Amino acid sequence: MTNGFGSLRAAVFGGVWLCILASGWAIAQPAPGDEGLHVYKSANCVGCHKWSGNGGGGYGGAAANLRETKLSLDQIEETIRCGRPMAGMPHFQSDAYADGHCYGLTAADLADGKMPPEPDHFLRPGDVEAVAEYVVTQIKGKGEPTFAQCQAFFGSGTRVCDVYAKQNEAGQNEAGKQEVSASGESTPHAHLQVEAAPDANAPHDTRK
Amino acid sequence: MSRTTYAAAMIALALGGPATALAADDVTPDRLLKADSDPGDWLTHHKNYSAQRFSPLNQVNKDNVKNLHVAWTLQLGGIEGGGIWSHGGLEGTPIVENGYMYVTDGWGSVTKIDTRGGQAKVLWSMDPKTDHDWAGAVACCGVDNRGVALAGAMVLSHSLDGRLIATDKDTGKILWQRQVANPDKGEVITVAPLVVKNLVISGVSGAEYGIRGWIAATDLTTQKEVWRTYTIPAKGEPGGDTWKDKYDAQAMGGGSTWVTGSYDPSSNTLFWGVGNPGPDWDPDYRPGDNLYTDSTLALDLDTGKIKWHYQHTPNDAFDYDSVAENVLADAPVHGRPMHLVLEADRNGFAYAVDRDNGSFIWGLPFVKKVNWTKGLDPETGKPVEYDPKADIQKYNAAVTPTRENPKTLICPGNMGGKNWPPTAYNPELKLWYIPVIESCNTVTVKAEDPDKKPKPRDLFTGGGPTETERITGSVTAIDVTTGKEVGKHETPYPMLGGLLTTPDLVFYGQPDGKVAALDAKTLQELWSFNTGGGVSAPPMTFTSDGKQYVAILVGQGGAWDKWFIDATPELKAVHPSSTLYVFSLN
Repeated sequence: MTNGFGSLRAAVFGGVWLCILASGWAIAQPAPGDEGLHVYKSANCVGCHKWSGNGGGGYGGAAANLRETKLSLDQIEETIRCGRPMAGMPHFQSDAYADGHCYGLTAADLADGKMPPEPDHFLRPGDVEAVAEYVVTQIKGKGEPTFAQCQAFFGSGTRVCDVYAKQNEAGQNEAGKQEVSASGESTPHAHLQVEAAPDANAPHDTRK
Repeated sequence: MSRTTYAAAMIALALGGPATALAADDVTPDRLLKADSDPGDWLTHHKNYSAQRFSPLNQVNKDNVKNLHVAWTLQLGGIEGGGIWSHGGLEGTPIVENGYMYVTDGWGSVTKIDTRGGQAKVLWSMDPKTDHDWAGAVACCGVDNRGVALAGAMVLSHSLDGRLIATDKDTGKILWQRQVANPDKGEVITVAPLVVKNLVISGVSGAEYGIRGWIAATDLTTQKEVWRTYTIPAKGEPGGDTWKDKYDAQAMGGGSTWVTGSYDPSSNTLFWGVGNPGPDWDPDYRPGDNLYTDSTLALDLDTGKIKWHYQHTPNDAFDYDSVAENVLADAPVHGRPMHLVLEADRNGFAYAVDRDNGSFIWGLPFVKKVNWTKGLDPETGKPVEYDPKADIQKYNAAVTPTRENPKTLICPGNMGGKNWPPTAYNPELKLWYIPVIESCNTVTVKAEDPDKKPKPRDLFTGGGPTETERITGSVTAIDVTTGKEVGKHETPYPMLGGLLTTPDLVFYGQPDGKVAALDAKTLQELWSFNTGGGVSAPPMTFTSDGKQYVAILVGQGGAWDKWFIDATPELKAVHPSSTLYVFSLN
């Protein structure tokens, strides 16, 4: 095993597994220049790295945190093309392990389940470049996710960003509320709130 | 006038229609209580309030089941993804009343189908416009919905984004809806509602996202919530001291309730299973028994007050939740008549508990391999290694995931010996059939830091599983009069869909698309058909125009293809789909 391979392995949580279900995710057509965002969605990067790039721990171990990544544009492209051996990140280039151009490894070196998983569909070179560019310019080094970034990703037809509106500072919060309100008009249930009954097993029942 | 009648009348008034007498087909509380009296209907999620999933229909029987064939199919929707999910799936049980069928897809759309005349005629479809991104990002285990409930002239359903929705049975229009769960906190809903008297009961999913679980009852007349029982007691409540940490772990203690419960009218008691504690695989984070996770709860229907509980895996380190249905059965055990609650737990053991007081009757492993404990104490049913004084339960310490033992192979694997797919109980044969996942998998603990609590909607699991072993399945039969296993029909794939039993048959579906019927006594396969899609829903049966049909939803649901597929590599070839299959003779 090469040193590079070892550090790759160390870079991810040991129990990482498949997150490969790239999909035909139904998303509005991107504006020109948004190719990277479109690929990020359609290749289901979201499935593990989340919309924010936070990735994170959890059920299947951690996907890399792209907001905190130290990788360069070239390294990110390489990771997308080659995936991560012995981990969950798929290789989005179909012949990644044909001739040793990925980490100096070939399929023969990666027998016994060390091969990164295949995605549902591979990406063309231009798509790899576009999504890597998107990660570097829109996600890497961006700090905590914000309401505005969330809305830029999802648009305003969902409540998925509300949680960031609540977390952000007061000024942003007001702006957020307006946006949420505007989106609410398209879905009558967008403003429903939980009205829970009191705790049925509280020691002193104050209902009545 | 019953309260439901009253509710229907009020709705008619509100809609500007005449408050006339009820239509003959309104589903009154009395009809639901006697759900077995019309054998051709399937009126409530588990067929009857006892959750037996037994149909007395016998036009299809062991002599002729070999002639069963497809009568009709219907393509449904809801296959699209959202959040972290690339597709939706089907886990629902169709409800049938008087020849009309109601099915849901993974995103909660409800479709009413007229099955009369031997074909499917879609009458309406109600799309709840579920917020895919809001809900799908915090649905731990897939885009799923397990079906509807009927009440009066309403169809009750949940949406993944946490709503309870009442739809007009005739028109398909939404009459009212209320937010029950809050996806901002990581709460979503997949469970089919349960209607009892004038209440509709909801449960919640989200123990992987740091929720505090609950069961909630909504009044069908006022549309207000009348009680909410938290499955994790607050400090000062009974059981609150089973969370012994100093940082309020119970506020994020888990305890989901995403499988429909059962109801005993004789004692007015609701039985509901409670899921795993959170963080799933870091028991050191939450010293204590962690009530009421991994427990069966018996609740007073009218108030939600807890009457008793029975906990299966205290201080669970395995994700062995007890969310499964609790089957109510009256049977003699070693000759003595008993009122039983039957539960097949993810921890690999099947339990019979006295439903009048929660005391243990019998228990046995129903999977081929259990390695986390040597077995159950014959008096209490607790794992023999259980130490009520210990903060952290070690069980078989070589196996139990802890911070000291952070990578370990557990059997059953974390999907459990049986997951949510329902069992079936044949009251004539006194046999109970369990859809089994024969499994082990590897768990890696990653300690959570109490000083760095996760943000809302972040996963909170304390580690994760990996698939290192092949996983298979079985249909396992237990004689409830003895608590002994009497048969095991092994299957090449895990049981991810659940069971139906009729007087002499057991039906199941498999994740590779196979649907099959077994002899109820011998478990010999008598019929099978491959639907060409992944089955993760239970079969059911009904009559239409007097003729018996068997129905099953086909469309790979749940989390298997995302999290567990390496244990069944052939299933990588199964594509998402969304189809209703209906079978008949001739």
